[in-house]
Amino acid sequence: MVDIVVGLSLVVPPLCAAGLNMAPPRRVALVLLVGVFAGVGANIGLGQQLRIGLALLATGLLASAILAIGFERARWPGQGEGVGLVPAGRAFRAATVLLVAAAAWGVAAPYASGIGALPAARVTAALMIMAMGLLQLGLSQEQGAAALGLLTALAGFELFYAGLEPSLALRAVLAGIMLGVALVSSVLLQPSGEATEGRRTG
Amino acid sequence: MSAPLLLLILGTVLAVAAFALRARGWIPWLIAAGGSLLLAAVALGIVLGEPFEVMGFGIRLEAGWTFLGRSLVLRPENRALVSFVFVSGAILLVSGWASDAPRRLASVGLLILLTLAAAMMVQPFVFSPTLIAAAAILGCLVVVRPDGRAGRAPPRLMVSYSLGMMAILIAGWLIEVGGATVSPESPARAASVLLALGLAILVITPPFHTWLTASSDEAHPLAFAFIAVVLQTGGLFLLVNSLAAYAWMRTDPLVYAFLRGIGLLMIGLGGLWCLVERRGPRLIAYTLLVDFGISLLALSLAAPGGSGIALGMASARPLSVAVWAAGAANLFASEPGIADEKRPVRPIAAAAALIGALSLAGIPLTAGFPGRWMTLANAQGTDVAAVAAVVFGLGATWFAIGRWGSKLSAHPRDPGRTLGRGRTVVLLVGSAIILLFGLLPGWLFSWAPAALTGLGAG
Repeated sequence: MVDIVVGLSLVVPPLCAAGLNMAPPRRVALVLLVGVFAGVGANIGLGQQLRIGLALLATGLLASAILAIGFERARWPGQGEGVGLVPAGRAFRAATVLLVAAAAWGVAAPYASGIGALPAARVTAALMIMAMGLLQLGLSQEQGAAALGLLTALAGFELFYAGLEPSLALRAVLAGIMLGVALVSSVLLQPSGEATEGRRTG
Repeated sequence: MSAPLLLLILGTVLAVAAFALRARGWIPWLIAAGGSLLLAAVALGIVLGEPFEVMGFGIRLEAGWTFLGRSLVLRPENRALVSFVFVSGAILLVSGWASDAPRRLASVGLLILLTLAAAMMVQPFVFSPTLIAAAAILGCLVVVRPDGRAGRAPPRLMVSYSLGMMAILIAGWLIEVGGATVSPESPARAASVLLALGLAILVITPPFHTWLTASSDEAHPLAFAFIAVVLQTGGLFLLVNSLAAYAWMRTDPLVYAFLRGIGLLMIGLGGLWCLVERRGPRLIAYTLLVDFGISLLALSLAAPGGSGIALGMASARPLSVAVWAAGAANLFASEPGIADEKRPVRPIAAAAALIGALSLAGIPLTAGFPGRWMTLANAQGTDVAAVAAVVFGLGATWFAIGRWGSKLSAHPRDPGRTLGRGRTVVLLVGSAIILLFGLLPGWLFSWAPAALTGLGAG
């Protein structure tokens, strides 16, 4: 049973991360983000240390909840509202996801078995998740999409790095970074009206 | 109690106070700037490990504070750097009131300074990039548009520093645990590439500078200047600390070649962009790139005092950009609406903005010049490319800022003296200090040798 869950935890997060690149509605995107963190947490928790896995899952849930509050305050803007979205239909996005996934696989395969004591499948899954996060960052620079992409990339990084450096303090700092990304993005999604009107400069 | 914990608690209390009183005119800025100076004084002067009395109470402060098995340590050798972070922040925050900066900059700015100070104190050193990334994420709250909405700058800043952090953490693991050093030989090549990538992001090397130009376009001048200067200082100190901590890094010619390469790249590209740029804030962003590049070049020359020159330049920079930002924020006497070239400018604000910009560009008799002169003197006769790059950087920035000043002089002057006495005093005093440090540069550079002796670098 544990083996099946560990196996699934290496497949589900990259798929959820790929799904985030298809510009789904924000509510679906948050569910996919939770899926990424749940898979990564399950893999680390069952394969390495349960408390680290649970903490990562809790971090993902909390980050998603904070982002949900931000999206709610901004009235759930769809992807494409905001600045600088690269115009791309779903077919184009699907094609780029496949290409980037293939590239990540190609990069990971020669090195996957030689990095620390990490299983090759875990390294490959981590690189796929990071690549999907980075792709999302490249496809949009709107704050909400950037937060989703960055959190995805950070989750992939944790899947990889927690195996190399299992320090609890580092886990705490990285969890703080993830929550900081979610919190700051949530604040920025909604105009605060607090910033003073700076006089324009020459 | 421990000194790092005292700094964190004191700083957090001050930040909360600045946030709570953010609508009270100059008070949050006084709390932020005064608080930064207080924290600097505590970091530099507090007695460690021996009991002393404060208002009749006996206190003994320890140098270290342990959290989850890792420590923040205020060591004799890092006290000057920690103190410098707070002083440079104070210089920038003091002009917050005069420049009508976003009110949240006072409290968020203090938190950013605290995070960077923690990055200087953390042991082991591998945690530093995570704290610098945390500071950058906090910085996203202030590089917003005037209406408070996020533009292109916050996502770019957040993403750049997070990626830089990831690269350095992996490189750190490869070096510390994997036993690799920076070398072109496989398998250490991966560590070299990742470390170079991470450091390049942290010291704002093109093409990882796009958040800098985006924030110069969108954010308030002081918010943009604050984030650019303190984050680059954090990256520079990480570099200097790493050089001091790792003997293999200090003695590896490849490391210096890398620093020289990115220094030349920053000066070359920054200079070229200055030549084609006409907008004031963008011009300052590119001038900052040239300034950063020259300080890295000074560091890379590995000549006596190279690190000291880089640190001295880092101490001139906050002063120059603070005066520029205060001047630029008060430049126009009318709101946008009429044609830009017809907007009346305030002469004193324009003069302050110009003096700040010229100091940043390193014109003689300003605080920014001595660092460039010392870099030229160090490179002369040994590195022709470095000399040519510095001369090109100086020429390009002087020309571009002169052209900007000439454009300002064509604007009608504000006849109404609408600047206000307090702001006039701040601008005049700031400009006078820049000129004073131009005449007495020893004051700017005198702290660096002591800090570097403590670190074991030089």
